[in-house]
Amino acid sequence: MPRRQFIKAAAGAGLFQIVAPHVLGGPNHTPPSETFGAALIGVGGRGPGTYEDLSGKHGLAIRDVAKCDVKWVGKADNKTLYTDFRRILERKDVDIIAIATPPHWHALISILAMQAGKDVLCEKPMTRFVAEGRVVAETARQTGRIFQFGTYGRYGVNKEMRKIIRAGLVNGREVRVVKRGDFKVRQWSGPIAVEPQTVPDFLDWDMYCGPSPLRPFQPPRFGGMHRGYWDYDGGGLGDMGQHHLDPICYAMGKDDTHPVEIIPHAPPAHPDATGMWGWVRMKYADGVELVIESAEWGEPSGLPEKRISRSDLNAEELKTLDAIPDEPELIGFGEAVKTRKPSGGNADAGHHSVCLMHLANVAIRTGRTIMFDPVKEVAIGDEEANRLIKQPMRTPWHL
Amino acid sequence: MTETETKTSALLNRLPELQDGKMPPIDATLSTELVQTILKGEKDAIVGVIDALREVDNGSDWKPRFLLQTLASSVGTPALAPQRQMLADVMLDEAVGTRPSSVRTFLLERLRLLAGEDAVAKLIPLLAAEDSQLADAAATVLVSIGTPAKAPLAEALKTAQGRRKEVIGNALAQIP
Repeated sequence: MPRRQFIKAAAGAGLFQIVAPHVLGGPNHTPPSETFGAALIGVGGRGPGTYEDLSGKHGLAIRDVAKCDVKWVGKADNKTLYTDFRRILERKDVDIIAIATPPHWHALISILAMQAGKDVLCEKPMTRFVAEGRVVAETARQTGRIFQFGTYGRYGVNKEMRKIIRAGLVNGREVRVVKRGDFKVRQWSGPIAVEPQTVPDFLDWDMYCGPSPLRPFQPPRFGGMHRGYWDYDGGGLGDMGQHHLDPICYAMGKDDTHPVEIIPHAPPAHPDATGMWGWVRMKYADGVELVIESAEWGEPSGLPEKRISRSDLNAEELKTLDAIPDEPELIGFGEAVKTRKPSGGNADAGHHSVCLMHLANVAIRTGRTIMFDPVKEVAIGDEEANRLIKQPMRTPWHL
Repeated sequence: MTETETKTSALLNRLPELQDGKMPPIDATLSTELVQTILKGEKDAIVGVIDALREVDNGSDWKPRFLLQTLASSVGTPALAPQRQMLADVMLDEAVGTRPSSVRTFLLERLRLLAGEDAVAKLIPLLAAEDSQLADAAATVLVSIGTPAKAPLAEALKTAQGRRKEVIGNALAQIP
């Protein structure tokens, strides 16, 4: 019996409040393997892999219910294949949504899915601009749904530095993490010399553009190279950023706050297409710093990495550190879905790590240092930056 | 060529050509110099760059597009408020004018980063534009202006119908 039906039946029988379902035996008890109705939204590129992760990496017993893609005009039967994700969210037999659309859709579909009572596995980057992530995190909190962003490096991180920093034991020391290279900057720089073409018959271009401007159709904007346009993603930093920066953000103990100063070194940006950048320094309020370097343009920052470890601490600091209990281990999406505890890659944590790339891109696009209020999540004294931090959506979409 | 066209052409020719269909990294010193030259030329110089925009965005006019974006970014700091106002005024006048819709849409997308309360009255009528991209672009500027646009939008909603009603409603939903 699917999990949802069991819980409803048990509640009706007055059993739910008396004993946990997994303890029961005999008729109407939860079978050892619970099944979850699953749907995939966005079938290209990462789609199949993300969907397979539900049963593979996350160990969930799923029932294939439906898939959705905007390139199925004429093929969608609105029973198992759709072009409009909203029809899937209306289905009662869907418990879990896997999202593998381009990033400009990630936040909206995540929010609507959670509001419709679904748990969400959403590909990285979690969002396209800063303000989206706050709404995703709030929605997860308010609905009690499980959310996991689709990159898992944080699960294997050594937590020594995290514990030291979160204990407030930096004490004026120079602490800096440098991530150099593997951001695919040139690869995902957007082509500009592209003739608009007729929209292919198989594609719902209006739905593809969604909350972003409805532009004339240009093939690079659809499929892979969408990463090269601000309308849909953030270039190589958007593609690879959360993979690299989430584990670092976690290791630095900064997945519940934001940097306060973001300093770019990049050439001037194009209005529509992502381009090259050199490095970005991101400084937190306690002095801890993250530097990202493309290794594809300009001179390197020349800043050395300087992590903090137990060996840097004095006896009193060590005593303080050892008195603090260790954090529990992060739990995976599968376990989170079954136990209803927040996943290790939850929306609030993901919002803070993905914002590193968004803020870096804001600094790159404005060409200047951004001072950022980590609590209010706004740039200080920079209205243009704030209009990139919070962006309007095209009718009929809004946060 | 007019004198303005000659001057604009000279500025644009200082930018390098595309590399493999992509914008090459632009030297920041050159970019700053070009921006300052345009700002010194004020309205005539800015309109000269806008005149170089083409109706179809296929990369052939990437230089004026890039310069207008860089102009908008350059005047974003509080210290440059007069230049920001001047640029916003020029872009708004051209966006509500008679240029092709696609050019006006592009200008509105730059204006979104700059526009203040004084732009609201001229933007509201654009919500009824037949070209949905133009109407959507105008709506995004109003959303970015925020609270000062709320009452005029609510007033416009009273008599709006069809898509215009949808666009205004969606804009209002995005202004706290």
